[in-house]
Amino acid sequence: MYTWHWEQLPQYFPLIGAATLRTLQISVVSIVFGTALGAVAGLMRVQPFRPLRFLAAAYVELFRNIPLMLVLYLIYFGAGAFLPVSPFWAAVLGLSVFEGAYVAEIVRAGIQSIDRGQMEAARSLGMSYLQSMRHVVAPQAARRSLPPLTGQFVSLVKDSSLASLVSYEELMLVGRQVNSRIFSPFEVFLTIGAIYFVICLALSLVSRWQEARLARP
Amino acid sequence: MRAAIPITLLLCLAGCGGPTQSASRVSTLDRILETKVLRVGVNPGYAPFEMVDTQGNMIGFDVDVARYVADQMGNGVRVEFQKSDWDPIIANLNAGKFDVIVSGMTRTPQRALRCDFTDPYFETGQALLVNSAKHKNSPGLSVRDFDRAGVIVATKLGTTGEIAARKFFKKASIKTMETESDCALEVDAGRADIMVYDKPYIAIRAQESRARTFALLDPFTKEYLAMAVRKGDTELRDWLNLTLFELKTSGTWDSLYQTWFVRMPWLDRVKRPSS
Repeated sequence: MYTWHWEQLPQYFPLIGAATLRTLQISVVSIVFGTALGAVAGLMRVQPFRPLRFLAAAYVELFRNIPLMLVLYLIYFGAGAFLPVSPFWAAVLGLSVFEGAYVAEIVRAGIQSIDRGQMEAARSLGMSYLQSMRHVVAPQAARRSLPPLTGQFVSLVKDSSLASLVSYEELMLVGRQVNSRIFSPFEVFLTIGAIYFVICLALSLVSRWQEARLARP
Repeated sequence: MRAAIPITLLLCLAGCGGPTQSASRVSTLDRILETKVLRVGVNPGYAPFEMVDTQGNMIGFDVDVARYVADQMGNGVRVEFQKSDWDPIIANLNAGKFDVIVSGMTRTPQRALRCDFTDPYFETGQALLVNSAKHKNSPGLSVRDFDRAGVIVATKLGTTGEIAARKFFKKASIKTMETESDCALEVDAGRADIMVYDKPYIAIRAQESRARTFALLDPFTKEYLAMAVRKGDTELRDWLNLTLFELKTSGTWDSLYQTWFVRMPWLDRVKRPSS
């Protein structure tokens, strides 16, 4: 039988709390960078200039077809051998570049889902390509992209647990450190799991509320 | 409402007692004799105790000790090595993934709350691997010189190295890594000042990166490596104690020590051709 030892856990709450904040921090920073990168790459994929389109496609395909763990190892242990890179920035870079590839696809799909007529109508009114994109197509695409983007952000929060592999002391690594001291895997990891669950659920709820707000004309 | 399902699942998991071990009343020792397989849990990467050679075979001091133990059982019992990550290795033992841990494990009071240990079969202690660009190797240099703010200490997650690092380097910042070679890489690359780990590993690693590191080998803790069995597997533990006593008194231990720590003919077997 597994014997429960919940009583040993509370002494580590301060550590787990600090780690939760670091998970939030790394997730938020990576979401910002990843979204910016993804938006740029997504726009590059739909604009008319072929070399840029090819470049963006290469980026997206490259990072959608290799594991995130490998990206982190390449940055931290590979490039890190000759470039000074802290665990935090290695993880932010890896997560942003990786998630950016998925965001790019979401942005591309969002833009392509808007009827061609919208772009044509805007152009025929004398707007430039950029103006049409900015004032007509992008706002509609953003509304459609929000649900899949939230899904991607939730993924990123969960993927941030891989930052533990490059020794960034976020929730997962601290959970393992605590477990290696009290040897109570269920108690520790159920707690850690509950924290991830709450963060991700909150994120989904906020976005559902935003969605409802944007849906109003 | 959609949240209700996962929450119910969590509560159920928490409430219904969790995993149980195989409920068989046959003792572990009897089962080993019956199946003729001794399942040994190891976490490879800890030279020269457990390593994977260039052919993918498990080799090392512990590997030979485990084979010796199986030989002593007779009846055609053979060893089956089961690899495990380090931090869940005791959980894996308790989950029945293997019967005994032979993986350079130090006995500690905390670990002994979750598994039973045999008598020690090896005595060691913690030593330091130091980045030589950041610190000058001088005769007066001691472990205490590194207990100050700004020093970065790399160590492996969940090991007695981590425990010692947190105890002896309170003012420094501690970095826990996945494997011992990750820790050594941190020191090589200058992202950590020192690595805290068991002396035999530090001694070998310092040889490999002589240009960038040096070692402080005088151990600053005393540690006793032992085998671990599931709590209550006293029959197996008692038998292992007797067999380990034989190992030490028969001269086998000394010849193994010579092979793995002194003559080290195995070095070529783990080296990649490039390095």
